[in-house]
Amino acid sequence: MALSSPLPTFFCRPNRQLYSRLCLTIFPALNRKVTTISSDLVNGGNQSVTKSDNQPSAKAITISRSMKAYMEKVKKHDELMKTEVADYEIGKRHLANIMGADPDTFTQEDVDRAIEYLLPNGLFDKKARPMLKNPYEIYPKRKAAEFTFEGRPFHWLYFTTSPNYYNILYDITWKLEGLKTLEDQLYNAKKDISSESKPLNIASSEWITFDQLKNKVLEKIQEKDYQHFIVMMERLASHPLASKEEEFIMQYRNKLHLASAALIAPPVETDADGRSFSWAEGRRKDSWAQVKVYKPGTGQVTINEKDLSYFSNLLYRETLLFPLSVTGLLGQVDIVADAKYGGPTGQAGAIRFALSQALCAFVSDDIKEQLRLSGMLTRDPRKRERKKPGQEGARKKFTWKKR
Amino acid sequence: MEPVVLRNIVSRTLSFKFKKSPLQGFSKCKARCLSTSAQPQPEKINNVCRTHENDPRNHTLDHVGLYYTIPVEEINGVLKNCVHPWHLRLMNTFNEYGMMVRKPAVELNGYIQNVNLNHPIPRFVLYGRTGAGKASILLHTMQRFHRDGWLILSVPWAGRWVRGWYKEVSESTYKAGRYDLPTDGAEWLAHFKHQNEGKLANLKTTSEYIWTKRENAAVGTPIEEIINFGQTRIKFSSDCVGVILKEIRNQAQTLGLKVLVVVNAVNAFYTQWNQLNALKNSGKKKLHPSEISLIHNFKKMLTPTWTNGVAVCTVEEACNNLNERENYTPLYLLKQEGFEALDPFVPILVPEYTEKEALSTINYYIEHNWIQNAHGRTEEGKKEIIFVSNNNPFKLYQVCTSL
Amino acid sequence: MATSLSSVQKASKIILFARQLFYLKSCSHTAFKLQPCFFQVSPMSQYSPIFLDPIIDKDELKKELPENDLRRHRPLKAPNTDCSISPLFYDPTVQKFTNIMMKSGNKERVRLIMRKLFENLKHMQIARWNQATTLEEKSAIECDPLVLFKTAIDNCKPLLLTQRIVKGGIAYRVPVCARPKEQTFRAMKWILESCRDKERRIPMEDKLTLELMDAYNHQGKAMRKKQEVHKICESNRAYAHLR
Repeated sequence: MALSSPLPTFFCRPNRQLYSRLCLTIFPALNRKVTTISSDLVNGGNQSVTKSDNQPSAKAITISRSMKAYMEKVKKHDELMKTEVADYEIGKRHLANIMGADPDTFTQEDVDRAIEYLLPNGLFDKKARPMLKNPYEIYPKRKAAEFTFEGRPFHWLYFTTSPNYYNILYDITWKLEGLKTLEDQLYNAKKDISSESKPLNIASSEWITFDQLKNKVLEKIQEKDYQHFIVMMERLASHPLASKEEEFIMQYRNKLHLASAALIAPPVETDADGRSFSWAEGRRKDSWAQVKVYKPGTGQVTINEKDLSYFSNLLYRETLLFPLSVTGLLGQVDIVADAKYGGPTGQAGAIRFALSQALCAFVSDDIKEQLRLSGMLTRDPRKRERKKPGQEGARKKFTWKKR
Repeated sequence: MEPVVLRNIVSRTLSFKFKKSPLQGFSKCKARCLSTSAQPQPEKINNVCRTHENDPRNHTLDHVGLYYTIPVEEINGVLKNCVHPWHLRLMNTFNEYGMMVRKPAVELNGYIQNVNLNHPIPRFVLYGRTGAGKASILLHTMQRFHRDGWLILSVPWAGRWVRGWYKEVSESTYKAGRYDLPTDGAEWLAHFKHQNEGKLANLKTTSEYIWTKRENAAVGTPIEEIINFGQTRIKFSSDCVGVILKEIRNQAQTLGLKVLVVVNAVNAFYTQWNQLNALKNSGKKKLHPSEISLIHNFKKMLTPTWTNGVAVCTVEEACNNLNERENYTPLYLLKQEGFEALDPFVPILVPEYTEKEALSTINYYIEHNWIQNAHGRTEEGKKEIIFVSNNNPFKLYQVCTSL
Repeated sequence: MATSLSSVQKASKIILFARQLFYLKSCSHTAFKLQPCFFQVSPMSQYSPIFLDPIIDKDELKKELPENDLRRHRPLKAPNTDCSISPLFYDPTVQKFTNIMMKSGNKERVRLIMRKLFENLKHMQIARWNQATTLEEKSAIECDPLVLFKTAIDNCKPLLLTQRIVKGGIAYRVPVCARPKEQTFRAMKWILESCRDKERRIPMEDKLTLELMDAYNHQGKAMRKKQEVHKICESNRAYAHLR
């Protein structure tokens, strides 16, 4: 019944000995990696707990009132969870029976699929749609007791109200101070810092998100606390000796994948005449465009059954030149484009986007990456800003007269 | 694709490779002493862009795509008012009056040369996209036949006679319901006199013309006198034009004159101009071109009622109303009326630049330091310029202005 | 000329002082360089903050990115319509100038003006070049319109600007050193303003041509404006500490 989330290493570190002793005395059946207290081991109503065999002193431990209240609360919660879990299991079996599947091997994925099939729902927000999930996934996680039977907190930062969070900041500061001292030592010894350690590669990962940090500390923290955390971390990570603390820093970073690995090229197709081509769609502003690229070609351009003179303004021809120039395929491919809606700027942008995607089919990975780096494979999200009520335009206000 | 084309250029221009022009040698040192421009490229074979055959009478298809120089006297003489202002300014800056030999020009000159002048006049209509170089071909033809001693009657821009802000329009003294353009008439007389200096001595009137009670021109008055009269009494300038044209028509056969009639934008003679600057009479009624006496007189020159002459016209999109410019073919631009008036004629398409011609122009610009951008002198840059200009000669000039 | 030079020398002293003030806080063996953070992004940007600026340079594109470059892992913004990878059609200074000159979004017209401006500059210089007889004379004539344009703007860049600071109810015009971005903006603005003050019937490109050629030769209205600003800064140098 216990939660599977591991206990963070920073949890109650200064009082680790005391905590472990308590764990052994009060909850001998559980191992240490527990975040919620299970109530079936607490003797409700009993004022004292008998000591275990390996404890020499025979003195009974008095339980404070707050501890008692806490235990009752935990017990109530556990009972609730028990019934919820039982309900969940029954519901799952019912669902399996309805779907004609084996209830024992019915997984969570099957449950989701069954609900989507049985209760189709058009609500936009996915959280508003009906669901059946393990109660431990839905109910928020709770922290274990943070104080002794006498009411003394385990954690030395208990009175900051978010000890885990401040403990992280504390760690960062000490590590940074350590690095600074090391740097000073190296400087005094006239050693080269860059030879001592390589700069930390922080490009391949990013800081954990606000929600991830919240889950890590299991405390109520604000957005500004998260920003504080990021600033502190940035300071640590940008230190020239930061790679000495790589292990610590990487706990708070998510790995990023190479963007080039995610590039997909449209397939090369063959038309009735036996010419190989690829096609793609693109959008910009309100415009839409579809581009077919034929290779080999002679550099002909057809836009809406006209040639490049479809754009009388040279600016838009230069726009179309961009991907061709990057790929070096100018004069080697034929382009047939259809553009609809919007104005010339939007249409030129849409054609450029579609063209770059279609060209990907004929170029090497290297050039594909170059296209990406020049921003050709990004859809331009900028749009016309809406007019607001009570003012003349998107930003412009009505002329204001005093009277 | 490209090397093949280049090789063709090479084979065609091989004969010119070894004749080193003084200007080519000059251009090298030009580029070298520029601090910011790129190092001069080694003289390549495909950079050949000029021919030493400066006499248009000797131009053949071998010279197509190459530049030849026109002497200043002809630019200021027979070709005055006929060169586009931008083109003239460019030539002045280059200090060299260079023009390209185009294929339609060579073709047209060949046709005219082989025409049997005893038949009623043949008519040629040049058509093509805006900026394709129709007017430049007229220049080539005019220069060529001026050297052969032909009489040249040219209208540099017929659109000028159907539009104008606050232009003076007066009722015709000769016929009611027709309108004179005194200033335009006088201008054309001066233009005609300038173009045909020294060729008008033999021309004398064959009938008597009475302008007013006191002023008249007796039989045998030299044409030059009539021109002078039209220029001083501009009220009668349109009538003078009519007289001159009539006399030329009548006497071409007898005197053995060879006459070349050149009208740029002939569709202005047949289509109603409806824009704000259209010519209006005193009753604010927009004038139809046939009501204007100048146009009425010139239309007669285009009818096959006389011999010993050739008419060359162009049709321009710019002389049609804004909503009538979808196509550039003579039938569309001349409409029914104009087409019937000119039919049968020889249509000659003026295509946009071929790759060779475009490269030749760019090389010519580079030779004259017009393209300063270092990238514009590379092969890749040249390709990009051609792509953006879409092979259109005027667009090519526009693209190169800011480089 | 001599007075303006000495004022520049004095101004440079002020700049030195200002820079010292600015960097006083960050005195360490190694200066910490903070990465761009999520709260430094423009609030109205349509792009998610993880998007980075694209590379608009062919040579730079061909080089391989270093191991710790953020752009290997992040998406990049799409370049604007008026950006081009070809150095023929794109230059950041020209683009900036075009956008500053633009009125009510009519970019086509402004680009036409810029094209004609460059054409005028080329006509003017190449005609002079052709007239020059000796090689020395020829090499002294700059024909590249882009170089002319950039040099003219560089010449108009102010070193110092005044900032209005209210202390004790009294407004002081305090000389401050101008940041590079502000320098460029001021130079461009002054050139445009001086053109717009001129006769209205002359086309903008012709006025700009004259103004830029003047600025290229350290003359003209925009240059005088810059010297005026320097003079004000010079006379108000006693307030420099109020910054």
